[in-house]
Amino acid sequence: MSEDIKRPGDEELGRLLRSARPMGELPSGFENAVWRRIERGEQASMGLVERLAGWFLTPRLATAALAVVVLVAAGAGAVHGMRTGEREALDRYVASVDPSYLRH
Amino acid sequence: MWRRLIRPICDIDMSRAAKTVLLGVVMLALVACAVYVGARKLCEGQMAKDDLSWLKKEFRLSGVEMQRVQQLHEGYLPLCREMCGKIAEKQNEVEKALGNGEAPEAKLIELATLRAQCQAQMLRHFEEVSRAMPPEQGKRYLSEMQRLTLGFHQDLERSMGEVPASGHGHANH
Repeated sequence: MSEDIKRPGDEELGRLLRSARPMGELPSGFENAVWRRIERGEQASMGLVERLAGWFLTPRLATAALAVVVLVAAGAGAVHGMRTGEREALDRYVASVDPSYLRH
Repeated sequence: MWRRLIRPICDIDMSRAAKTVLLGVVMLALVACAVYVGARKLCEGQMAKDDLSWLKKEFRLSGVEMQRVQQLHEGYLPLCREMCGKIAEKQNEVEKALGNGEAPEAKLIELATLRAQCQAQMLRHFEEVSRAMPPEQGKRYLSEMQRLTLGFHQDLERSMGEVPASGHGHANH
């Protein structure tokens, strides 16, 4: 309680302290940066499954993942298909001129 | 059917996030499978369009060369079929002779002669086709065809002539 008692000169001291710690202006984007840090903190506390689900539900990321899967699958299919097709084409030609070939 | 299949998965005590991930992974896997199979079939079909598509691609034949090769191929096929018919007929005669308990030596010799004639005719065709190609490609075609058609028999005969560790090779008979 003794702390609440005002003493002579306190107001003067207060003015002096306020002038000694001037309030500077916040830098631009300060609030966004704060929110980003809060979001990052929330994400860090999420488990792997939750984070994966978040990615799946983000249209931009889901589309990118789909595009990568389609490209890789199409590439692998094309390479495999070309190899098999080449072998089939060779067998087809040789069998057409030598019917005993496929019995080899 | 689909509901019955998916219900056990939905009934599992999974979080909403886990279900989302599972659904996403399943969908991506399905898309990947469909795209893979589609691309594979498409490329296979492109490579083996007809009997001569391998020749055209492998030996990089021009339109004119391909036309000539096609003529030769179409001219050869009826001769090949005729020879196959004769061989099948002779084969039946041999089987019939064996069934009747007769000695089929003469028929076996005729059968072997027919097979040799068939191979000789095939080699003549390969030579004709190789001449319709640029010299380097023709040479490569000829050696490749000889390896693919006669090579197998040669390998087989060579392996039969070798004496295996058990000592039961044909050379011992």
